[in-house]
Amino acid sequence: MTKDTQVVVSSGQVSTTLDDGVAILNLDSSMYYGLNDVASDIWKLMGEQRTVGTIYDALLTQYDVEPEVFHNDLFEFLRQLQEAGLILVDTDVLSHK
Amino acid sequence: MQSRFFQPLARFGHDKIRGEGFGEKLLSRRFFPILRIWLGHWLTMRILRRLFSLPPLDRKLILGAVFLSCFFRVALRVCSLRRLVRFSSRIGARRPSGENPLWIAQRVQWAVCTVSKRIPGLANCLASALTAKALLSLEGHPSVLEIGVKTGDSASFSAHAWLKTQDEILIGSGNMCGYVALPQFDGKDG
Repeated sequence: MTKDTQVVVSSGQVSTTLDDGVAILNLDSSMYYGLNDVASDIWKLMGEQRTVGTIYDALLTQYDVEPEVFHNDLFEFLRQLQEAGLILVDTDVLSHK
Repeated sequence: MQSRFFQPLARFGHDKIRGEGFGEKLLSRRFFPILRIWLGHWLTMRILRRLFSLPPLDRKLILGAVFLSCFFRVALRVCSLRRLVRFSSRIGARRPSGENPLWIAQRVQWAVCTVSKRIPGLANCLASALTAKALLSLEGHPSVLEIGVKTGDSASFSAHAWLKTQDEILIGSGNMCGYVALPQFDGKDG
């Protein structure tokens, strides 16, 4: 996954905003996931198809964080979402068009 | 035997079987299996008598609710939720039965609630909602399954399912306080 990789939330999930984050239900694995505030902001940005770089730039201006730390955290988080089947990444996005 | 787990259990069983008077006769090794068989037989006959005294529709719904509750309870462990919701929507008749939809909904609600009360642990809220959805579908009436989520004080998380038909909650209306409904996914195909 690079900054040019396209990501979008999967159609196999439903999510809602709670007081302290976002709750997601994966309809295929029947698993629930909870996101904290920062993760929720990333999740909301992925409502539309974007590149990872766009998400990185948008959030780096909002949070007071070291760019390298944020870069690592963002990629780790996206990898976890992909493993859980909650987002479609690049080739998946193209094949679902 | 000094084990703190084994000893109290052994003493409890010993005292019960060798107890004085009523307990000795009731729980004796010879009499207890006969009592158990007789009690099982009596209960089965009582359930069957009650079942066959019900009107045909109620009988069909009760038997359907028992079977479907067992099915969904097991199926929820092995199948995806999306597949089960699709299945419960599509097993039914294409045309609605001639009965009043509200009356059918009430009978389905009664059947599902009766089964979950009489057989504790058989159906949780999601299995009950899916069972009711399938029973309504079999009668040709549509319904919508919804799932709500909430977080508690100590970051605890809970989810609750309910079934709506004709804009009214049919199953799972109790204990809905604080749940935020997820977007409807009933009929969402992947």
